[in-house]
Amino acid sequence: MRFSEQRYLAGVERFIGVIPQCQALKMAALEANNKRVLFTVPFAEHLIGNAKKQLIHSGVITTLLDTACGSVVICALPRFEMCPTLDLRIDHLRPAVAGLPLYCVAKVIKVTPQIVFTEGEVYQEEGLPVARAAANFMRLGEDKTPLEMDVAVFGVNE
Amino acid sequence: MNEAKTMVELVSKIQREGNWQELIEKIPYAKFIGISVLSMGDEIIFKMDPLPSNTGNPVLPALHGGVIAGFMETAATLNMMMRLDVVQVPKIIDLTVDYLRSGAMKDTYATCILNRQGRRVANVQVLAWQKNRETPIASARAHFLFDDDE
Repeated sequence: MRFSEQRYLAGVERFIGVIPQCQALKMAALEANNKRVLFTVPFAEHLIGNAKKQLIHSGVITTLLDTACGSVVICALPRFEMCPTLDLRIDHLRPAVAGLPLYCVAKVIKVTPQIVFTEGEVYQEEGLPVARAAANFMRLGEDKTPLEMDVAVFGVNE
Repeated sequence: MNEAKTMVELVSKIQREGNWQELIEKIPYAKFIGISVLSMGDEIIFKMDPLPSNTGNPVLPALHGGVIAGFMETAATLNMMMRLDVVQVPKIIDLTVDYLRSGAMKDTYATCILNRQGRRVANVQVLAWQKNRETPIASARAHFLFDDDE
């Protein structure tokens, strides 16, 4: 590992802290290392997709998965790189109910010079997955991302 | 039961009058990301406003990929409710999104093709674009389930 878990967590918190959509969802990072992150989104009324059945919209789940998978990518790389999502595949396993927070675990499956493969799972209650996803990210390369961005996200080495 | 009746009435009223914005008002998340519907004859085009809160990359700046997917998913669901005599909200089974270009902070449009409508499952293809349809920012396909548990 490049850093301590605390430093990875502080890094991903800073990363999602500057993303307006994540702020609008009040997304937060709970755990992070170079292989896995745990994110959460608290429930809010505007996240409802089906008012009659009181269910959370699947778009919120998609955004949480995309962000968590994208965040574990930046933790897994030797230094911060811009990595746009290439594709995202989601299976919706059970509805997400209103009133409960969403949790998302994202893991890195494989890092190659061009592509990073990840997978993620969303749940409200542990052991009862709401959705699972496979997301692939394109590495734009270290030369495309200024070194200052690595420092801005993960801080300065002692 | 009473509410279901209102929903049936609402959807059939909207199908007659073509004012789909009324249905969107019933979906808090659709309002949260700024979705509206333009219906021109048989053509249905969905629009998403470039709300500052939809930003995913503040440096470029660009739309959040998850918001683009959420928009396409909502478009696919509404498209089905508009095209068919569906008064229930179809359940999403799975969704695959290919991101083709970064989404600029401007109006985004989506159109849907109902590839197959079975008795229980539907397959929908969605294209999202900003400049024109020939340069889409994302393409998606999704499966939806209709079940009779309501």
